[in-house]
Amino acid sequence: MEPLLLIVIFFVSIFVGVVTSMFGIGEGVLLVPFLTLAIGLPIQVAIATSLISTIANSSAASMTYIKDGRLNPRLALWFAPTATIGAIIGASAAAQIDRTLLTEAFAAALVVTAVLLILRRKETGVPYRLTLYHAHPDRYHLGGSYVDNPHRQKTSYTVERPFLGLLSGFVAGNASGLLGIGGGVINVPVMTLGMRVPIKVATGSSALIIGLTTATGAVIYYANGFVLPLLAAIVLEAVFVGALIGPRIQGKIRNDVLTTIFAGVLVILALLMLLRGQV
Amino acid sequence: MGHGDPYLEKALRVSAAVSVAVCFVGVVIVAATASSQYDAAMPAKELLVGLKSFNPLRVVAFGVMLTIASPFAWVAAAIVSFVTTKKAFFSFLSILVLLLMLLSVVVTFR
Repeated sequence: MEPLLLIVIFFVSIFVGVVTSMFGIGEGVLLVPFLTLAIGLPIQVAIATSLISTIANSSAASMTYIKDGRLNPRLALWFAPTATIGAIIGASAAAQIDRTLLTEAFAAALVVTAVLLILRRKETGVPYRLTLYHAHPDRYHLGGSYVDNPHRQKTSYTVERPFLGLLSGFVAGNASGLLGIGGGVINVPVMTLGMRVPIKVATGSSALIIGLTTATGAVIYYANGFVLPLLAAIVLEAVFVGALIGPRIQGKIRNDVLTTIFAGVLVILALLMLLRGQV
Repeated sequence: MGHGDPYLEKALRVSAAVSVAVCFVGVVIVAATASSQYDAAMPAKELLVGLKSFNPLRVVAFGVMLTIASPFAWVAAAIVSFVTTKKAFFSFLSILVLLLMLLSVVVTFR
């Protein structure tokens, strides 16, 4: 791999880190199409690279979230067993199945991500109904409290329909292992809309779950020889830098129009991947 | 009931700092030694176990391996945290998660 090409990959990965952290989704949705369509790498190598950068990102995000209680370790660990099983199955399947099929599955996941991004705009209304949560028993003690920054108030919540988390964890873990897309795009809506977890806690807890599932998947990709260390390290560093920049400019430029445009870009990338076929 | 978990927080901080730093140092060494002579397309697995002579890419591969290993340390920290606070159910859950993660290692490398 030429040094100039690695420099290009570094700067594009910073951009990917900025954009995906602004929208709170895994960088795989942009990174995998970039590495396959533009650089011409096999999709398994692209997914492995994406998984490793996602682990670094997950630890950076989790560090921030755990301080003010936005990361609930109990809730994250509730999702983790099925998510880990899903990731093992997904990553093992990715090494076996045909590349064209994997590319088509990834394209489908991009379209689903685009749809969920549009739907997710509605989730922000959920935390304002927090008082209702206290009416529901929290059998497994998954609830907790977090510090709501604008008012520095401690907000308590309980968790409804905990078994949805087991199902969601499996599906997200499987998608993560198979396609390298993280899984937050599945877990966060399930937590907020299905389990009535406040969006801030859902995003924070999802960051830890993503780290656990991507590591499990990455081990399998590593064992199958899909991890190219120099590429992975350069992308990891770049995405890490981008993820530090993204949240700082998020409040300034993020809006519904931008989300719609981004969702449109994902659909176009999905079409390009389908047209390209085996990459 | 807050979530402030000192063990997990420390594990997250240390793992992120160490893995990102080792990867960074590795990339710098590769760039400084103009290591285009080395095969950048060689998988990490072969770099770490297959070579006898020194290769700067091995440092990068080690950093990548540390990154992959980080979440194992997070779960171990969570286990310590739940065990010390006597949360039996979550201690069991976190041990189960660690065992499943280790299973993926055992199954793929056997």
